[in-house]
Formats: sequence, structure tokens, C-alpha cells
Amino acid sequence: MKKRILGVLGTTAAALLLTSCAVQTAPSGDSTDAAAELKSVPGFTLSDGVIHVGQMTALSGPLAPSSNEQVAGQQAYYDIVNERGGIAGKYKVEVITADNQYNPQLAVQEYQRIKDQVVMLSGVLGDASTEALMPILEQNKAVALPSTQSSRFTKVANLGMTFTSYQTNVWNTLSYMFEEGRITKDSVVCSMIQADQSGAARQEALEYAAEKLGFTVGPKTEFAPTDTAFTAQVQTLKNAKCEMVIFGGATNNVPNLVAAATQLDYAPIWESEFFAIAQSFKDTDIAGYLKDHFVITGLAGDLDDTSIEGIKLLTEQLGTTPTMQNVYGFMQAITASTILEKAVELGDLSGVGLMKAMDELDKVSYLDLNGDMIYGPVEDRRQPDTSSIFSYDPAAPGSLKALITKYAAPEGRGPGF
Amino acid sequence: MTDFLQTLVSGIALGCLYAVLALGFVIVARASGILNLAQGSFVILGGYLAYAFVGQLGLPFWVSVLIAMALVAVFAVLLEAFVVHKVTDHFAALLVTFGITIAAAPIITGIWPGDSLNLGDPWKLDVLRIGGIGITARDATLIPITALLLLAFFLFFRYTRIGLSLRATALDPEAAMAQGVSTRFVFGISWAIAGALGAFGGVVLSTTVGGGVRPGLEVYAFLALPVIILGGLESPLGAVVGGLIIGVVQQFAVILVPESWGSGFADVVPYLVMLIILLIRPAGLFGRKEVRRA
Amino acid sequence: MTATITETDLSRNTQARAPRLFGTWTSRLLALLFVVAIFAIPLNIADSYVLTVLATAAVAAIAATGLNVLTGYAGQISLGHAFFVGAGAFAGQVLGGQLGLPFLLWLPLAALFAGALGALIAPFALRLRGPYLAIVSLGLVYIGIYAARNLTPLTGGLNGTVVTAPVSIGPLDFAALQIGPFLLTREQGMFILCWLMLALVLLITANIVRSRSGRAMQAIRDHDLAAEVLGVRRLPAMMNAFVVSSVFAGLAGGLLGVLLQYIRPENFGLDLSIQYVAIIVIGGLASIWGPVLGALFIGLVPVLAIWLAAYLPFISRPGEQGGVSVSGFGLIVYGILIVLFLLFRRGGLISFFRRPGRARPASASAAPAAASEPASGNTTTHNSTKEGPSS
Repeated sequence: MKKRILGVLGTTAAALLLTSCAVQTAPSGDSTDAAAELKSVPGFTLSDGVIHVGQMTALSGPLAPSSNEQVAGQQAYYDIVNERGGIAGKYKVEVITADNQYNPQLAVQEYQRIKDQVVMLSGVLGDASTEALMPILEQNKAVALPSTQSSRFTKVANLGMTFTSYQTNVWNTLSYMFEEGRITKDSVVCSMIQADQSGAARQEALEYAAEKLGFTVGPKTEFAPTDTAFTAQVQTLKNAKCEMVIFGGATNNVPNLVAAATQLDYAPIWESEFFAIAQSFKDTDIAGYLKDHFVITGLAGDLDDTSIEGIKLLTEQLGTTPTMQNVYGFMQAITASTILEKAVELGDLSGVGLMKAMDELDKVSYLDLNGDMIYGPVEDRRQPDTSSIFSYDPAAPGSLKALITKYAAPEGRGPGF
Repeated sequence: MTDFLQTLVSGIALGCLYAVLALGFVIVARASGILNLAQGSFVILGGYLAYAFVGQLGLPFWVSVLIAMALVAVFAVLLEAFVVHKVTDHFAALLVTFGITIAAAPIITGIWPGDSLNLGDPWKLDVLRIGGIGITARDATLIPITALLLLAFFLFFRYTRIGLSLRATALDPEAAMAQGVSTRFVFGISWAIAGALGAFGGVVLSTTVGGGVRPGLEVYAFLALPVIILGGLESPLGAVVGGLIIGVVQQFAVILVPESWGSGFADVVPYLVMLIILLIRPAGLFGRKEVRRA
Repeated sequence: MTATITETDLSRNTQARAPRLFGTWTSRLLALLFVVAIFAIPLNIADSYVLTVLATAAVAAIAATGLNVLTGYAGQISLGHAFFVGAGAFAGQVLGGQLGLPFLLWLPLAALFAGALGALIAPFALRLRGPYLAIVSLGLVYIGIYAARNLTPLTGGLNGTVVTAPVSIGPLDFAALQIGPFLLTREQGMFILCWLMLALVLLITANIVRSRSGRAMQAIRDHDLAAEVLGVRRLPAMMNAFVVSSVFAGLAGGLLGVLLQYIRPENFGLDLSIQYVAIIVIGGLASIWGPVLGALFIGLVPVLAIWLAAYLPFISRPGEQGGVSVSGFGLIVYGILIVLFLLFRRGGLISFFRRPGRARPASASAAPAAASEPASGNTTTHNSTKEGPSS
């Protein structure tokens, strides 16, 4: 009996080996035919007429709530596009999501799972995940839009950026605070950042701003994502008499930071990005401290300001006031759709075709939500140079009250920012 | 000088937090002789249950905390009786308890979704100022509570019948049974205490102002692992002393360590301190040297 | 008591002549089928996702085999395995990617680097037992992450680095394998590479286990005082186990790097160590094929979770809050499986394939009862007095 089973297995194995039905003969040539006739590609079947895009994000873990809001924001824009009939009025867009759990090694595996079902990735959450995907995206000539403000990926041909960089945000904020007189040439400005590229970007901008505006750069303190006690860092900052501190943390760091600052009786101006502010803060006691001492960079303007075209459309689509994370996702979908429109116009939705579309676009505009992202050939691409600056106000939608929208430092953008 | 004292005080407060987390491990190690990685699930469950009572049922803070501690104690006892007890060796117990934490965390965060749910603690942003030093009201409460806990443990083990039974069972289960001590009862009590401690730890971790219970809380329990090795796996005194040492050293490390040593040094400090102590005292500061029989 | 001694593995393993490796026709055929499958499967499945999952499982099996030598055969708990895997991965990138050494040089060197680290750490680690060893080995993981985060020129720092090390042996480039007129995709080529390496590792392990040092390890694991009385010294035997375990871990690390093309210090942490432990326990401690079964099983859990998610109501759809996410569900399944296996099937998956232990004459040269596996260095289902490593 056993011999028989083994015999059957053996014959099957030999047969499989001989038939080898899953290999292609080499070399598989790409037809470089640039006809305006749209062909089916992975993620798009002509007969179906549906373009599938992928979203790689953290659907579980601490970032899940904000990622889910981003996903909702993206979907809102695609719904608007689909209501008009789709890309070029003909092809609807559908999103396939993948969960990388904010872990780059999982990103690779998840990408493998969806890569033949999508024409491009309209969002990749996590700089590390984007970096992890770069080799395989390169090998498959596929296009992805990193969900980040990092400037690292701007000059990569198959990656499409959307947002203002960390550097520009910090630079713009410092410039604005200087204009408003809240910091002066005699001020000491410091930083409290993580030891990663986003932290380094912020530090770069801080040092550039000091050069341009004339203030002094104080101590750079560092912290790790899981730190719970910040008294040591805050003490260093307090001893150096820092009037303003650039803070590169996330929502789980802010309460500890405020606790340490209150304990040590230290109240500078803290600058942070909008994703460090959680909705839940407004019902707690740190709201007062945030209101008095935080300055926050973000997108668009007041979230209930429907005079901003993008906010108006997003509000209508969601049926409620959007959050900043919704806006974030919405804007990425705008980038993706603009690229897709161009690609359809040029007649090629393959990865190579999408890259060509990015080369031929000159910019993507965001319905008044932020400045334009300049596209074109890779050397010409530039992230927007505007930032919207907010103060914390628990009564405002999203707890963010706009101080100024789409502000760009008068001295212009920094080098490579 | 004030800086030094300030750092010292912060270190002591952090150390007390470590001690509370570590005590939960220690008491189970003493009773069942295993390293109970399910302590992580006690931490996160305790935090979220406290939130449920405060945030969703509107009960007062301390009442909610006590109820949460009681419920987690029950959970711990059931866990021990139905799952851990069936596993006979230490290695498997380590894995089983870890499996429980892995499975429990997503279930809990699935029932109560959200990235940070506020517990509404009584301490808020109050700060006690003595000399030039500020101590948060929470830390000012935590430090005496830890001291009290330690005292309670000491008295419990030394002077009460149950405590005596626990020590007897740990030393020689058969002799203890012969004396009429029920090992089931002993295990139950120990795990209940561990559960309550874990829940308390979870609440403390979540009450940094504006913080709250959040996914990933269970990982904080593992911060206490170097503490228990440093102090000696079965010694409550070791847990507290070890916690204080590591808390203080870690806080000073953040201030004193030069940038050239790289980032994230504070994360390895507990393990480095542990390794150094182990070189001198292989069983930990207050651990007992293992007696091995053929 | 004495009547049962002939039945125990201790006596079988102290025979002067070790059983032959492929003693029966069945084991030979199975081994052959295995090798054939390594080629047949990728040639017939083009789905890059499936191939990547399987290739990753092979690499995990290599690392787990290493851990199995240390834990299953030598009886030492270690939560630090991820440290050695990470060491191999980053060394591989430095040697193969930065220095450009060829595959046949950088991979073994990376593995040996990890082995050297193992040799350095072993004397200290082996003085500890049980939970002490577990936690100290865990400390190794955190120290490793700290080192990797800060040795930025070598490791890419906090965010890690892309892996560019080559994977070609002579004219065969596994990233773009061409067999005659056929062009294989990278995933197909890497599948073949990883599973071939696994086959090699299994062969080596089977030989180690049958050899003198392997028997020494098992003797120390089972009755260390008795073994020392018989002249089997603990420290050298355990050192061997440690070094072998670290070498295999380093090998796995190097392969993991080129498979995923990206490595990051954070990924070689506690979770990875626990995954390896779970693999060997679920697969079956102290068995050659156990780690392979365990790795396949664990590797398929997320896939299963995704498939099941479509049918379960409490799984949340992307974009909505609340409910359990798909990967959260995967974690729940993973945790529950670990608990279930440890409660109800201590022998692991491999025990489904074995016949229940029965008395075998001590003179049997090729144990027919173990005929279902090609390597006969296995122990059968554990006696209840000795379960898992001593602590």
C-alpha cells in the first residue's frame, strides 16, 4: 500500500517536472508599441473596464485608526471619480488593500500577494516599507505612491510623491513664527526627535532656518518610540532655555511629553506634525497645555472650511466633517487619479506606461488643499513648498485651528527640501 | 544638585513602575516555578477593563480599577487552572503563556477599538513641588503604593498562613501536601495576585495624562523581564530593588550618555545592567542558588 | 525499571555503530521525491505570492532547524535566536552587497560570522539555566538591535538597508534563472535556492544528530549528571550545539536578506525569536522534519487568516474602525494554535506521522519504526518523565 502511494507520488512528480507549465520562454519581449490603443495589463482588464489600485497600509496595530481614516479618504476621492464615470470618464477605480502591519518585511510579502491584481499602489504607509519595496518595484517596473512627507523618494522614477516634506514644514513654521515675532534672533530653538531619517530631516531644516533667520540652535535631544518618561530630555531642554522645540513624535508620545513638561514646569513652543495629535486628547487635561504651547503643521485649513474646494467635496462625500487623515488619503488619491488619467491618455496602463505618464505630467493640483506637486522627468520633480500651520483648539474640528493656510517661507524653499 | 535629585526622583518613579510589573512575574515564579509571559495579557486586559468601567459605565476611577483588578485576578486563576496547569514543563509553559498574550491582545483591542482611550485618572496634571523638584501626583502616589505592596508581600509571606503555605509549596510541594496544604489553592492565590498586580500595572501605564489604554500595552510587561533576572526570579524584594536600580540607571543614562553612543541606548540599559549583575551573582541579587539533585 | 531501558532512546543512541541515514527504500524514495518537488513546484506554480511564502517558510525552517539542535537535541532554551539570524543577514549584506563577494563566499562567511558570535557567547550563556537563560538570551536580541541601529554604515541604521548581495553560483543566477529555453522569475529561482539550502541543512543536521557529538548533546539533555559520570563532558557538547545552531541561524539570515531584499534591525526582535520557538515546538522537538512542518504551518497561518477573513463577520473591512483586523485575526489564530498544540499534542506535527513508540530490540541496525523519515536520528514520542529541555 505504501509502495503504491509512493509510486503514484513519484510519477506525479516526474510528470510535473516534465510539463513545467509555469515558465515562460526567454526572453519575454515588451512591445514598445506606443499606440493609443489601451491594452489589458495586470490590474486592468479591457473587457471589465475597471482599474484596480493597491493600498499598502497598517490595518492593525497602533496606527490602524489613522490608517483607516486615510483609506476612507482615498476611497472618498475614488468615489467622486467613479461618479463621473471613472478615469477618462470610462474606467472605474477599485481599491485593493493590503496590511503591512507597519512592518517592512511583511510589506514585501503582501505586495507579492496583490501585485498582479493592481496597476499601481496608491499608498504605501511607512518609509521603511517603501524602502523595502523599492527593489521589487524596480524589478517589476511598478509604480507606488509613498504615504509620507519624507523627501527621500522624490527623485525615484517609479515613486510618486504628494506631500510637502518634513524639512519644508519645519522651515515654513520657523519662518512663520519668526515673521510673527514669536521667535527672534535671540531665541534658542532646539529639537526633540527620533534617531531616524524623519528626525534627521527636521534637524536639517532647523539648522538651515537658524542660518537664514539668525537664531541659535540649542541641544538636540533624542527619544525612542517606546520611551514613557521624558523628564530627562525635557530637563536638558529646560536647562538650555530653549524657547521653541521641534518635536518629532507621534500620538503615543505626546501625553508623556506634556506630563514631563508640566512636572518640570517647562513651557516652550512645541512644533509637531498633525499626526501627533489624537482626537482623544481634547477630553483630557493635556488639552490646556496643548492649546497654549503647541504649533502644528498640517494640510489645507480648518476642517470645516468648505470654501476650500477639496474640503467641500470630501465633506459631501463622507457626509461628515473630515479628519486631517481623511484629507491626507484624499490627496493621495488625487495624485493617483491624475497619473492614471495621463496614462490612459497616453494609452498604456502598465508600470512603464505609468512612469511615462509621471514624466509627461507637469504637476498635480490638489483642489486648494495644498500647493502643487511638480512632476515631469525625475530630476525636475519637487514636493510642494507650502504648509498650513495650526494651533490646538479642542473646540475646533479635529482640534486644529488654522493660523495660516498654504504658507510658504518668503526666502524660498531650502536646498533639496 | 536639583537636576541630580530630579533625575533621581524620576528614576525612582520609573523603578516603582517596573517593580509593580515585575512583582507579578515573581509571584508566579515562586508558586508555579515558571516564567509567566501571560502577564502581558493581564496588563492589557486590566487597563482596558478599567477603561470600560470608567469610560463606558461611568463608574468612579478607583472603583473601576479595583473591579478590573478583581476580574483580571479571576481570569488569571481560570487560566492557570484550565490551561497552564495542564502543561508540565517550564519551556512549554513559557510558550503557552506567550501564546495567550499574543491571542489576547488583538481580541481586546478588537472589542475596544481606538488608538488611545482615556481612563480619566484622578491625578491629571497635578504636580507636587518640593524644593526645586517636581513630582507628578501620579508618581507621588505610585512610590508609596509600591512601598506598601512590598511591605504587604513581606508580611504576607512571613506571617500569614497562606503565605506560609505558598513558601512551603515552593520549597517542597510533596511535603507541603503532606501537611495539608492544597497546591491548587496555593497556585490559585498566587495567580490571582499576579493578575491583580498586572491589572494595576496596566492602569498605571495608561494614566499618563492624556494617554490612555492603547494597543501595544501588553509589550510593556516585558520591560520587567531584566528586572526580575537582576533581582532574582523568585524574590519580591529583588523585584523592587531591581526595578529601582534599573529605573534610576536608565534615567541617568538618558541624561549622561553622550550622543556618540548612539540612539536607543536607554532600551538596552536594563539588559546591560542585568548582564553585569549576573556576572557577579549568577542567581540575581536576591535569588537562591539552585540546588540540583541527580 | 531496568526492563524498559532497552526501549529508551538512550540505549539505542549509544550503540557503537549509528544507524544508516537512508536505510530503507521508503526513506530513499521520500528524499528523492523531496528533491524533485523542489524543482517541480516552482516550475508549475507562477503565483509569486505562494512561492514567496513557501520560500520564506524554507528559510524559517533552516533557522528553526538550528534552534532545534540547540533546544530539541541539546535541551537549552534560547529566546535569542533572532540575534544570530540578524547577524547573518547584516553580515551577508556587508560581505555580499557592500564588498561584492560572490555568493559561494559571502553566504558561508556570514553563517560563520554568526557561528563565531555563538562561540563567544556560549560559555557565558551555558552557565545559566531555564528562565535565566531565556531572558539573558532575550537580552542578546535587544543588544543586537541596538548595535544594528547604531552601526549605520554597516547596517543602514534605524531604517535598515536594501540587500544587494548576489545570488549566483557560477553561471546560474537564481534571481534570473535560465534553464535551457526557460526563463524563471526571481520568485521561482529563489524558491529553488532556499529549498535546496534547506535540504542541505537537513542532511547535515541528520548527520550531526547521528554522530558522536549529537549523541553527546542528547545524553546531556536527558541526564546530564549521569552523562558526565559516563565521561560525556557538558561544556564541549553544549558549545557544539550552540555553534551549530548559530551557524544555521546565520545561514538563514543571509538567505532571508536576499529573499526579501530588505532587512531592518527591528525585524530581528522578540517576535521572530518566539516564532522560531513556536515552529520547533509545533513541528516537533528533536526531529529532523519537525521544523519543516512547523515552518510551513506557521507560514500558512496568515494566508489562512486572509482566506477565512472573508467568511467571518467580526473581521473589519479596511477603512472602518472596530472589529479585528485580518492580521490581528492571524495573531489570534497563531496564539491559539500554540496553546492547543502544547496542551494536546506535545509531540508536535511530526507525531502525526510516526507510529506510536513500541519496544524495539536493541540490536536493530536500521530502525524500521522510524522508516517514515529519511533521517533516523529521531526520538519517538517523548516519555512523560522528560518533556522538552531541562531547566
